[in-house]
Amino acid sequence: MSIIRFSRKETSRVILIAAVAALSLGCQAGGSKSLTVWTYDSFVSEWGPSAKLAELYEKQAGVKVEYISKGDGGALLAELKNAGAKAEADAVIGLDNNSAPLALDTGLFAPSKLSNLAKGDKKLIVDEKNRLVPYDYGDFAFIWDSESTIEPPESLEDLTKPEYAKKVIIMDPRTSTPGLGLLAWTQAVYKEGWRDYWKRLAPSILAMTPGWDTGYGLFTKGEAPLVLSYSTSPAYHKAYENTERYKTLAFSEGHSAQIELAGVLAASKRRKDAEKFLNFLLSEEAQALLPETQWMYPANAATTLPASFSVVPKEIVTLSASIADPVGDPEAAAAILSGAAR
Amino acid sequence: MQSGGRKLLLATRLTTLAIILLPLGAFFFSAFAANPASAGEAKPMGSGLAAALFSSQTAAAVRFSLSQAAASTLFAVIIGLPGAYFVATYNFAGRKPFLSLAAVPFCLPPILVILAFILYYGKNGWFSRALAAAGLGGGGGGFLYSFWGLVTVHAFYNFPIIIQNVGSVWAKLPKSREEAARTLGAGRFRAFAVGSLPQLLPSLLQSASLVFLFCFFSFTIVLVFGGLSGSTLEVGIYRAIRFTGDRQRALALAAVQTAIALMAAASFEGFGRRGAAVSKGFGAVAPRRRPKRAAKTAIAAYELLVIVFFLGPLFALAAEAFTVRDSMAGAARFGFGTFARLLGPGAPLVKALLNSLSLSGLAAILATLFGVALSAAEHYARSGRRSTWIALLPLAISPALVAAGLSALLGSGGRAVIVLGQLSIAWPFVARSMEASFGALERRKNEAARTLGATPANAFLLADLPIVAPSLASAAAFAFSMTMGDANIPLLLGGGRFETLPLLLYRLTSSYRFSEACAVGIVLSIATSAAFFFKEGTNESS
Repeated sequence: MSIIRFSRKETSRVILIAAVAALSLGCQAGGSKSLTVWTYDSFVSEWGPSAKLAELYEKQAGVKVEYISKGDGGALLAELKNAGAKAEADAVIGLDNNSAPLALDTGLFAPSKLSNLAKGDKKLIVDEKNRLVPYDYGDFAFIWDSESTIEPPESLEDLTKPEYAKKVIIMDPRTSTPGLGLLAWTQAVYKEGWRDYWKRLAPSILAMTPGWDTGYGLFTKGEAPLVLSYSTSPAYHKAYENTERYKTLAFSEGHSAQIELAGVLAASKRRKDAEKFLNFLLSEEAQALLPETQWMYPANAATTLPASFSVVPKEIVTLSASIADPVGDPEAAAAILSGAAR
Repeated sequence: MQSGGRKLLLATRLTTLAIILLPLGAFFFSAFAANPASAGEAKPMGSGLAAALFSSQTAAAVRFSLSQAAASTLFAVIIGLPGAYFVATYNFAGRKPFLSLAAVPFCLPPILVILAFILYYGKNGWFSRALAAAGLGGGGGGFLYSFWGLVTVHAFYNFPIIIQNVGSVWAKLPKSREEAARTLGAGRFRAFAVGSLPQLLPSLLQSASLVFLFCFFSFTIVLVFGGLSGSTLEVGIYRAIRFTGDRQRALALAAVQTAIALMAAASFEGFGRRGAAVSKGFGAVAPRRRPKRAAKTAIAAYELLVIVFFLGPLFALAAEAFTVRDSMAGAARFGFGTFARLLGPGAPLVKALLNSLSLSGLAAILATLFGVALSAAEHYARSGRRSTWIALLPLAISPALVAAGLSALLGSGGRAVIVLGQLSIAWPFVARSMEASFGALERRKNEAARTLGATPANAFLLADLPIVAPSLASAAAFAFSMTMGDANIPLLLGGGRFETLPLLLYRLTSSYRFSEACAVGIVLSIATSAAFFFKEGTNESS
């Protein structure tokens, strides 16, 4: 009697799927005594520094570190705000100077005392109480494809010239750190006139992507000869592709910087352990892993830089920059660009 | 037993409503719950909601969602209609592959479609380079990133739905009315307009409302290509949840979105019912003709257009996966290096594939059980009236909201959340397709079994289940490809301790690894389309 007329092949397929499902669900159980760190995607990818850091730290301190990625930096902050004091983490790695005011407003972070913090530049300190501490930094910059037909612009103002019409890819300030960085940058240079600048810039923009990844991907696929990124991006191409085709442009007005921050959560039951791990993150040994994984400058000035970083121009001037209204201004900037596109 | 059936129906309906409403309730609660972390900016309850509801940004998002969805649907209908006619009327080489194109919008994640379109239509894409080589302009500025670029991508993504759905009705259309009009002296087009079009219209409008719904909820494609031209309500909801953390605003946008989508879903249902009523009078499928000269040319031309404009990007995607470069922009050559790297240390591809298979497999099994239970309860408790209106509800609810609600309930980053999230997108499709096959059952067989003393459960197992089994298998396979290809739920829920194929895909693109992303995309599309072809096979044999 055939209750269900599955052919043998079909039946075996269904069984296979079910078996694999049951197996892999069974494999995931297991409690954790380890330190839990919330972070973002690129930190935990197999090309990121996370695994090596955890390995070194376990050898040194005998404590396991477990990372949980929350997507990108923006999503990390949203998750923190949403989970509040119930966030199941001891430390957070991957906030930055632009999101710091919002992150500190949550009151979730506890001050930490880190001996290695003194080895870094004082200019990197974002929070005097050290609730969030800097671990690396980089300048926002436009990258130019030297094999394109255009001349490199020399300033933010140059970007508005007609010759750069539809030649620039930027990121959305509502959803990405480089987008916010550009906003802070233009506010530092143009003060109240930043809206006018964005209006003038609009014709030059080919695409405004939700994140850095999509935008930079479009750039390397040749969609546009100019892209908003970090001054250190060419170091990646130097290290892995041995090419100097993509060049960082040092702009005459100066640049804004991203300072990446880490902090210990006040609600953690293991604050001392979390503090120790962050101090390790700031040690020369750990910091040396960051340049060629995060493609950022290490916060600890005693760290040796890899050879690939020699392609990053030295003449970049970092402005002190912040966003006047972190909630309203990104919306306004995006609205200016969409309005101009219609 | 009638009253037992009623109870069963009530129970399944209540369970269904609970499954639909629970995440929404959880989200609603989280939007209004006093958040101790941000006590500094406490607002009176609901003020954020009201403000967002009547803001100019919401109005702009409604306008943009509607206009792009309408334009995309119109465009998809225009591209799909000739195809529907050809597959309904003629036998020609490539007819079957044509029909299976309908898998694309369901199974290929939008992120891959985006990659494909950039590789093909981008400034350095195959198509643009071919145009330039032919001396036809050197790639104008950024069409893809404009309103019409977005509409084009949507139309190309969805037109196969029109071919398949309209084509299947067109094939059954009796020719008598059109022929009568012809004998009364009407021209070909007039005869078609008077004779066949009225009978075709319900199914055409039904497929169009489905495409409209898909485009209305479009998310990933709008994120990438719509950045400058505007954003849909769904993108607004995503931003409000993931980035601004403004849940009241997300709720306001979602309320507006659901109101509009319910109208589209209701018209989908209404046209579906009219279509079913009209097609009751249709006989069997008329034998398909071999095309004559003129038709042959038209078909060839149409096929060529589809290959160049639609399949081209997909070929470009496959080619990219097998391309090895010394540097990101260096000389390209054929090779398996990309795959080798993904199978190398840590084997991220294998891990992600296993995770995807298991999670989607589980979600598909649950979705199938659930969808079958619902449609069976509807069928046995009510004599033959079609009304699985409950199965339409999920089509009108923002996936971003459901995902956020689920993670508010269960915490994010777990496997259970992803399984439940994917279950919630797949079961309505199972329920709807099973409803159709239950509707086609002959009641007499079941009644005969009952007269011979079988219990209702036995009558179901012995008389009805064997008949609906093939379509059950096909619905399960469809659910599997849908959950496998879905990248939105994992993306909205965020990763966590493990990785699925779509999450790996996103992570690769965010780490400068574009060839690897294409390779993962190939594996993902093979997995989803394998299940879909399996479904087609069981359909054909049933």
